[in-house]
Amino acid sequence: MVELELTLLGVIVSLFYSLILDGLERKIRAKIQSRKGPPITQTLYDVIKLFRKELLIPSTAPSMFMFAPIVSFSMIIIAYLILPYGFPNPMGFYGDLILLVYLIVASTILLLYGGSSSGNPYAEIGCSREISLLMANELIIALVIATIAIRYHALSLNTVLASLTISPSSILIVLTLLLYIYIESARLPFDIGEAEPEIASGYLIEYSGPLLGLTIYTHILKRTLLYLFTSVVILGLVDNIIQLSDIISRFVTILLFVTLLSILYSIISNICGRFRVRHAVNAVRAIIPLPVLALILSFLGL
Amino acid sequence: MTVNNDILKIFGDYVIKAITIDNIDYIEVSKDKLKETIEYLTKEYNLHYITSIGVDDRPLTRTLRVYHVFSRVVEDKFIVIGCSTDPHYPHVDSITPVVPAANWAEREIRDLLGIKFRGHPNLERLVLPDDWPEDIHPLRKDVPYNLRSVVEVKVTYPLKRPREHTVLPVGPYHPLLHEPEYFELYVDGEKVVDVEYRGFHVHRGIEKLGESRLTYNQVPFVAERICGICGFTHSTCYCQAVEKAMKIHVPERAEYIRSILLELERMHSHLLWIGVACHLLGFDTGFMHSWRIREHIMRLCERLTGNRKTYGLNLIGGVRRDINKDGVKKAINVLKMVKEELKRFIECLLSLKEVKARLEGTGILPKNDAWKLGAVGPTLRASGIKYDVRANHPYAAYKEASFSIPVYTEGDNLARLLIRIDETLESISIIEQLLDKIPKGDILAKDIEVHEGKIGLSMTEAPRGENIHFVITGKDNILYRWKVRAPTYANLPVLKVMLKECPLSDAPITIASIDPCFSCTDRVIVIDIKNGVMRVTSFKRLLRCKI
Repeated sequence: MVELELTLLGVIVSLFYSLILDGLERKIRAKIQSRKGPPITQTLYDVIKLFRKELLIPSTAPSMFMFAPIVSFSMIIIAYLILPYGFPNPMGFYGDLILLVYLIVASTILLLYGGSSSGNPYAEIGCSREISLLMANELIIALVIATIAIRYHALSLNTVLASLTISPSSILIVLTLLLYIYIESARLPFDIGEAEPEIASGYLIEYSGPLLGLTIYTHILKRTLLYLFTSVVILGLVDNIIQLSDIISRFVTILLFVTLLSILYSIISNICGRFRVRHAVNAVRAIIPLPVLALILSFLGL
Repeated sequence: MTVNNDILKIFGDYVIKAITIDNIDYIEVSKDKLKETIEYLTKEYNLHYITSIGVDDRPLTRTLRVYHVFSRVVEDKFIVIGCSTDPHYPHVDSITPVVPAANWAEREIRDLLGIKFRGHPNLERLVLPDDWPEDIHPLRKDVPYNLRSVVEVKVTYPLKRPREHTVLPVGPYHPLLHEPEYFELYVDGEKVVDVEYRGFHVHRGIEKLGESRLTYNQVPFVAERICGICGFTHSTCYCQAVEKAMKIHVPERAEYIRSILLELERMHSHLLWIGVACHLLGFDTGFMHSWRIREHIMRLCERLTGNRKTYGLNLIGGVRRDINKDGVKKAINVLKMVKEELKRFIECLLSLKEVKARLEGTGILPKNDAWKLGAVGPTLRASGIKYDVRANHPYAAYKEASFSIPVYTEGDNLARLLIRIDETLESISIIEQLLDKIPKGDILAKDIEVHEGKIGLSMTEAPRGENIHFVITGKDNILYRWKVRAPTYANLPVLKVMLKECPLSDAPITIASIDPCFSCTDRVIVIDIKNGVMRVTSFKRLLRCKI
């Protein structure tokens, strides 16, 4: 049962590492903008500070406003528990790939719902923007799952890790995933739902104190979760080439992938401006041919 | 034929006075013929409306006066049309139906002096707070400068809201502009249908202060604090107005120093705006780099004047501090560096597709609307009208430099960005020319004589557009009337045109594209959530709270 303990260790390390990763991104952003930037642990301090603050809830907000971030946070934690950290996760089961995607999407929607339930017009506009982006983006991940299921007969993350091989369709899947997680992690130019100067942080506007801290933490955790998921797929793909057998070194490799992805994405997002809603949705739609092609290839057994 | 003779010929019997002082044609007409006179003038001559000024002249002539100020586009001339009215029944014909740009100025005069304008389309409160008593007009001479409103009235924001659209409040505090302003956007989905503006939360009564509390040479320092970004243009403009009124000859070297600093101010102001525009488009990296380049200018200003901002340099008759040889050398080096860095940055900025896509074709201001509603500065020039005070009505040392005035015809946000970029580069060239041939000599005029009852009018081209100061000199070293019109005042009304049918995501950059500048203090508004009543906290109440 050493794997169970290691998985739990992986979860704990990831929960902490995601905050450091955000600090790293801020440092990179500062370097690109020729600033010094806050210390790498700043995001951790921010979240701790927010948790210490007074809990304020608008008097008109329904109870959903308060519960949405909490439930959303626990959904992401569950998603972390079913993820393989470079070795088969003993808590994995058949179909957990679908559950993973379900948890990611549901936690986003919950946050949107909670935010917009405050009745603030900015929150409503932010929510409607985010939903229109979500609609296009979720189609992509659905197609990716379908491709994996058809090509490798796998719907569990453990089998994905074990059975992926380099083939035209799997390379297309990785490419699509890289684009999908970029959009899903709400980075520039896709951060239209928050867009601080336009709609004053959008659906987050009414959140403050511990609830805001929780929302921000959930957001950061979701980003890292997406990186982890993509890293698992990439590791599965290159497994035969790099031939790592040691559990610890496999886990470290995954963390390395996650860090590289984070650095790459933060550089890209820092040389972008924000899209208009229409442009953002069009950009997402432009990606759809990729997974469709992958799906066709997988039918052909390629 | 001069304007005066022309008017005398047509409205002969109604003209009370028609004189020319320097480049100002001053015409006083009977108030019954005011509107006709202005209608005739605007039709016959190519006139640019500047502002309207109300004066409480009761101590001298027992009348209240209104002056409408126009400038001529083709030559360096100003036309002031004045009329007087009985203080017991202060009514004057509104010129807004003829000159739409006069809308706000007339509302302001109604607030501050209590003169009513017949035929004005919307004569509601503009400047005064909602809890201010109806019958006290602060700029009247019998109202002390330190009077505070004592009644606490329940008020609501009297904006006419269309019911069928989402109301999106932008302000009084909003991350779009970190200053108090209130735009109410009416939104249909992602499209802005209409917009209402409410401002003047922060009217500080600086004019009243200048007319009652400050001496001539103290006013420049307060004038410089009108704006937190382009203050020097205000103090220069004020000093020039007084110098004109008293016919003071300013030493050439002082004029050069003023021009150099005015251009440095334009550069740092434009760079600040370019940064903010990048931020609003989500391109924070551009924001940081623009401000990094701006920092060189700020440090140069500190080197030259002792202050990064609010130089405190102007006095009536010249400047207080000279630029030495080291300063000139340093300035040349810094400008060279800034030019290089700026060009590289602009190249990067304009190569970003999504940034350009959001600027192109949004917030369009048609040429006609721009001219009719009285837009000024880069906003006007981006709509295809070549009008720049530096060239049309040269002041300080601008005659000595050769420079081009960038004009774009598209009238969209991109045009307004490009204008500011071109102007920044043009400023570098102006400063270089002026530094090259700055003459030796005094920097402050000697033996200044003070005359009472003179009129002075001066315009400067601030980074945001034309800035006007109008003074009437008084006795005891104190101004009789000081009127300031900052450029944003003229540019705000055109936002209504620019924002209509604009996508919501482009509303912030459109609002920012006029480079609005409000001042940074605010009153406290208490909102009772249960019954939705807003109440403006009065000064008395604030005192009770020991603030």
